[in-house]
Amino acid sequence: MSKGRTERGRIRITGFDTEPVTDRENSNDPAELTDRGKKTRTESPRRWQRGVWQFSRNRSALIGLCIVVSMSIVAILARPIEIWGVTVQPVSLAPYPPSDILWLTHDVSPYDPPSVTHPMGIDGEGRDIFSRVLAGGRYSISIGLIVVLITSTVGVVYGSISGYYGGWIDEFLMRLVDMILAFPGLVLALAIVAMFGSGYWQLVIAFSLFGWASYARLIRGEVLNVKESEYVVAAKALGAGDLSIIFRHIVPNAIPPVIVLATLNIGTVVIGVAALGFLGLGLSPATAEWGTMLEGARDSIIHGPGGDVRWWVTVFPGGAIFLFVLSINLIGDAINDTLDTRESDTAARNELW
Amino acid sequence: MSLRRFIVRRLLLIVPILFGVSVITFSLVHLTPGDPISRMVAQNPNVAPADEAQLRAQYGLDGPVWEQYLTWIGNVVTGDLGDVYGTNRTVSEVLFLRLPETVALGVFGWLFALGIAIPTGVYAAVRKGTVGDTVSRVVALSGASVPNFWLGLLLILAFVLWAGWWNVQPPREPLYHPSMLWHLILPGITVGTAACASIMRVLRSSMAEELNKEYTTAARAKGLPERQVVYKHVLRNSLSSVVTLVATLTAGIVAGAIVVEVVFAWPGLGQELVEAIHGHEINLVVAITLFTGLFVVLCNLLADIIYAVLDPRIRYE
Amino acid sequence: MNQWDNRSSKALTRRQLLSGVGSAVVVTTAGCLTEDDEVSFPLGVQLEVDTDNSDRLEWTAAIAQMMESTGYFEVDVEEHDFDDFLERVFEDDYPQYGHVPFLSLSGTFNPESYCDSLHGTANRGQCCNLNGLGYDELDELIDRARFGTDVADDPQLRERRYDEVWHELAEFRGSSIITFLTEEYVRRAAVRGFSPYPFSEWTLKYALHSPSEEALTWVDRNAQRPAETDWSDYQEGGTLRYGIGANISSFDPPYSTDTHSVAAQSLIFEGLTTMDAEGNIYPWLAKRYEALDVQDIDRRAYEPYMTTVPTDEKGVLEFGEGGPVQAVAVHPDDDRIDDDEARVLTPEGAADAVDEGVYGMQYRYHLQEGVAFHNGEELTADHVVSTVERYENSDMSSQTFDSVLHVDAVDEYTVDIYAQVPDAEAERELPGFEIHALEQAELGANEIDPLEGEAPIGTGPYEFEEFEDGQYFVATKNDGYWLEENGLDTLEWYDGPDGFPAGPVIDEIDIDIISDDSTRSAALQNGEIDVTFGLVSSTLNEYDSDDGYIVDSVQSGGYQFFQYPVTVEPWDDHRLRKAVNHLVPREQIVDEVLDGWGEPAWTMLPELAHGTGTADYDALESELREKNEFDPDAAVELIKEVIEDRGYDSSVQQ
Repeated sequence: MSKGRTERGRIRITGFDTEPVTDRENSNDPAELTDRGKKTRTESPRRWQRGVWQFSRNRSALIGLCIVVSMSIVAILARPIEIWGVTVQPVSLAPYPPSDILWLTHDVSPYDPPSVTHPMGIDGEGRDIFSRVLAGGRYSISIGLIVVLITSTVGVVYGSISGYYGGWIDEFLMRLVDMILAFPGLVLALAIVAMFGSGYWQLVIAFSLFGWASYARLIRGEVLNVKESEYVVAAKALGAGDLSIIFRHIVPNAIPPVIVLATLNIGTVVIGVAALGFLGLGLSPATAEWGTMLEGARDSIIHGPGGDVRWWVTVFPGGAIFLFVLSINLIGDAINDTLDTRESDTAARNELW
Repeated sequence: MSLRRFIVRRLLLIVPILFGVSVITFSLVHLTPGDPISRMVAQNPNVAPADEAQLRAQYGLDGPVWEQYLTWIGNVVTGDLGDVYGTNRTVSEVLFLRLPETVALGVFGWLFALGIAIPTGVYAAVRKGTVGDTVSRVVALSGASVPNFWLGLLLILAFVLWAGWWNVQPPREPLYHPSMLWHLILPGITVGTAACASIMRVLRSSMAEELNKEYTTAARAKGLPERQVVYKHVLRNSLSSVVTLVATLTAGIVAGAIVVEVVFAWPGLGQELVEAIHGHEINLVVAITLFTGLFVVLCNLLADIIYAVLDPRIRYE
Repeated sequence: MNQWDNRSSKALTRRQLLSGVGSAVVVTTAGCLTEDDEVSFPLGVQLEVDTDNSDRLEWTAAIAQMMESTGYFEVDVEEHDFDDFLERVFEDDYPQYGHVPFLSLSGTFNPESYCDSLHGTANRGQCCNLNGLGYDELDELIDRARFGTDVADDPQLRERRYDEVWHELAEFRGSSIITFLTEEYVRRAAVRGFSPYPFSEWTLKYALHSPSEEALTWVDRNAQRPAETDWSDYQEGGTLRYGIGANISSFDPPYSTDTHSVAAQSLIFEGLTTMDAEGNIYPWLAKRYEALDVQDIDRRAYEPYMTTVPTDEKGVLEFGEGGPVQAVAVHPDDDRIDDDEARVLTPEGAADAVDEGVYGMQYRYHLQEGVAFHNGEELTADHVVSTVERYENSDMSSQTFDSVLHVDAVDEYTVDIYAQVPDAEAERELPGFEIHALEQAELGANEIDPLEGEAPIGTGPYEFEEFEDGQYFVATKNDGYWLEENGLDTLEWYDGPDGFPAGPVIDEIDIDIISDDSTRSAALQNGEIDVTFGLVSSTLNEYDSDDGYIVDSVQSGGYQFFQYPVTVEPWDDHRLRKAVNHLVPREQIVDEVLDGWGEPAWTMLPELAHGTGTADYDALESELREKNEFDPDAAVELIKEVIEDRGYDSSVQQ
């Protein structure tokens, strides 16, 4: 459903709107219309409930969700996790330690094709690809999650402040966002890696440092929409503080598109991390991270004359990225459909690419 | 607000944004732990330690930060982006040598994206709910989910190595030469795929929406042929939603070009940037970062103006 | 891999350059462990490696895994970006950290490059003595094998002296050499007669035309499969397309240290002498040369000719007005970092010393007559003198002036080159510069740059034609090449067959720059390039077994090594170091990591230095090999011995 509104920066289209912009729900219930403030106040939980129900009826979204959840669980269970010497997670799904070089101890050679004992084959360094793919999600998924957590939090706070206060604060804060959004995300990430070097936390920084800008812009737009609504005005009249208004009344109502953006963003960050890994600027080459595995596998794509394509070295980690990002996109789409937020979609997907 | 006033205002708005872009680029260098110059000297085998003081002076790195910024921006504005180490070539020379290649790649990416996305998007919207719609939706989702370097490698494998339709290296011809344009097809496809997927999705949903609107029904009722309704009215109105994407998509294509240039050995700015990072050529990294920022800002501006000219229904705030 | 080679050589040379400028690093020796740092087993140890070379990462991980599997070590592998890693390992305190760095280094024909770089006291904190190793007896052994009138006169004595060095190193075990590297060149069948050179920077020049070993490359586009050919079947003309893995960053010889730039320049420039693939020297632009005089002196003899120059805290000489002056030599008793000033021999002082008969060696080079540069100039003694002047204070100055004292024009076609001290390597080391045209001899740093309109001018068989930065370089046949004009007979030493061509027979050399190894491989298979090297080792066997390609493998002088922190307890015990050395699966590493394209290092001396580095290599190998065999049981025995002898705690269950 459209608001007929394609806001980007300063431009607003009018003339096509058949519905009032401020009214998100197309309510036909005259009883509710008589009490708009009440209606909007109760809107959120109902909207959420209905969203969950709609989401659960979306088959592709459920498949996506299943894949993402199971990939995450597999990543956690792939190898035991120790924290300060205490084993907090003893399960080990991966048959071999992901970084073990198997030609030292087993009868294998680099680039052995998939077999019963090594279902995804052996990579160029003599490691078990199956174990690596299982464990590989740890890096990609966790970086994706951390980055999205950081950027969405910062972005939401920033954007709400900007939208709520308006005036010159808004003008200033949004100009800054414009400036950041002028750069392609990957270029900034590359520049940051060039300055700070590469590594796990460097990657987190590279994608977080400027990644919040698109959230800020998005939430600011939403805030502008709900700011003038009667319940906010009412809350103000009742003497509620700014912070309380922003975070108790405005943000919860403005959050759905942020969720869509955040979901899709996990996918973009995973691809971004893989791209940096591919350019040799990501994690160290031995790391079992999907993108880094692909970088190592790059050599095997182009084989010698008469040689076989060692497809297993590229297909499995590449497939893992693809599957994960695809599932994330499916979920994002479904949330988008159910929560009815149109524009965050492309913003998220194109922020990096 | 008249169109002219809008354009003037938009042009004026560019100034603070350009300023901000330069500040961001500048602070990137200065966020670096340690002194950028000593790091540069330490890591770049071509810089003799004796040049350190000279470099410091060149960057004005002996004064307070604002002074350093002024020195730097002064140099940038006059086109002095520093030298490429170990040579007497300037960074600006390198930039302008490589820029056309990247622009050509970007244009190809755009052409591919629009060429595929518009017909498919229209088809999907008109046939909403059919198998064809589902297929195109799956393809679009896949296109948005596939890492482009991976796609590029697969294309090389299939069309260069197996089919032999292309050479690995670009021909030694000027950019406008037909053989060069032919060579740009695969990288163009790779760089345009993500944008193509986005446009397709946006177009599909906005068209589906427009198709249900009253004016469409009215047009149909008037007895206009369906083809004309779809292409003359609905598509035209839906395209505005695509135009708003131009800036983000361009930024995406520029970013994609970095990786794609490396995959296809295309001698553009992206390849230069990656090499510069590996070689710790901070001058070049800064210059290219700044450049992409400016480039996207200008594209943004252009898109807005085109949009304003094309679409008289816009109200300028 | 190739790219890495290129970068490392660049960076390492800067280090060598730094050492020339005088950043000698003072390292406090002896273990600096405090009382409460109890050594206990399993012993924590950190292996350190850069991320540039995936093969090196792989065997570092493999060795770490082997060490862990004994139960006596808890190993961490720490990876660094290549440049950061270099910064790190050259830190003053690095030897005291107790880490084990993995690196590789490229040696030369000179056997010294396989012992002194890693173990010489003078190389501490520089390339590439990273563990602070160094003791007088060893330094003296190494020194006595190269310098002095006795070894300069008697090659056999020199070989025996080097044998002593190898035995001493195997006993002391300050470092472990894992493999010797080979370079594999893959070419299409159309390229005939191609034979690679141990050092990739000289391969193109050597393969195209080398009368010393009758090496000649020609192109026969009709050839479908490799066949036994002889140079006498050669065809003239055609284009050879040569793929390299990194940009040609410079065409200015004294300002380029990376292999790809040197390779490109080798088509255009020539030197006084040339070398065959065994490192034997043949006169080239010099018709002949002879040693006129040797004097038994050391660098202290130049004291009267030295000037005192203030130094800054980093040891950099401050020459003041008029810019820097080349420091030909620094007084061996002066320390540029600790002292505020140093006694330095400048080119002027060197000239005075030579005038008064103070020098180590005097070599006389008689130049070929009728050698034309690409710009028409004719080669004279002036060219040699002004070339050496251009090497002063250049990126190559430290390599040049570690042996050269002074160059003197005797007459139009005769030049004397003086060495600083009696040196058995002088013949190879002294004439190591590319002769410039006078037109370009006055140019400043990096000013020979075709992108700035200054194309390189030399005497070589090819002329500069076209260069597109990062993409390609084209060189075309020099029609007035001096050797073709004058005939092979002008090479006095030439005793090969009559019909051998007097110059390369290929008309055009097309160097294609394709940095990605697999893309280059694709270009080769697609017929876009004819020869390349540095391909992924796992594809080499496929090329090797394909009829359309030929793979030539050559030992390159590069070696992969790691060093033990000899100044830190318990690594100061040579038995522990020997134990770890027994945990290096050299054969498996070559087979699995390098797919067989490499050589396990059974001694510290690679094949290409066998000539001057040992009296009898087979004997040397049979004596030393057993110390380098993979033998975990022996390793465990040695570790137990150390624990018992020294009374260390051990919680290892065995």
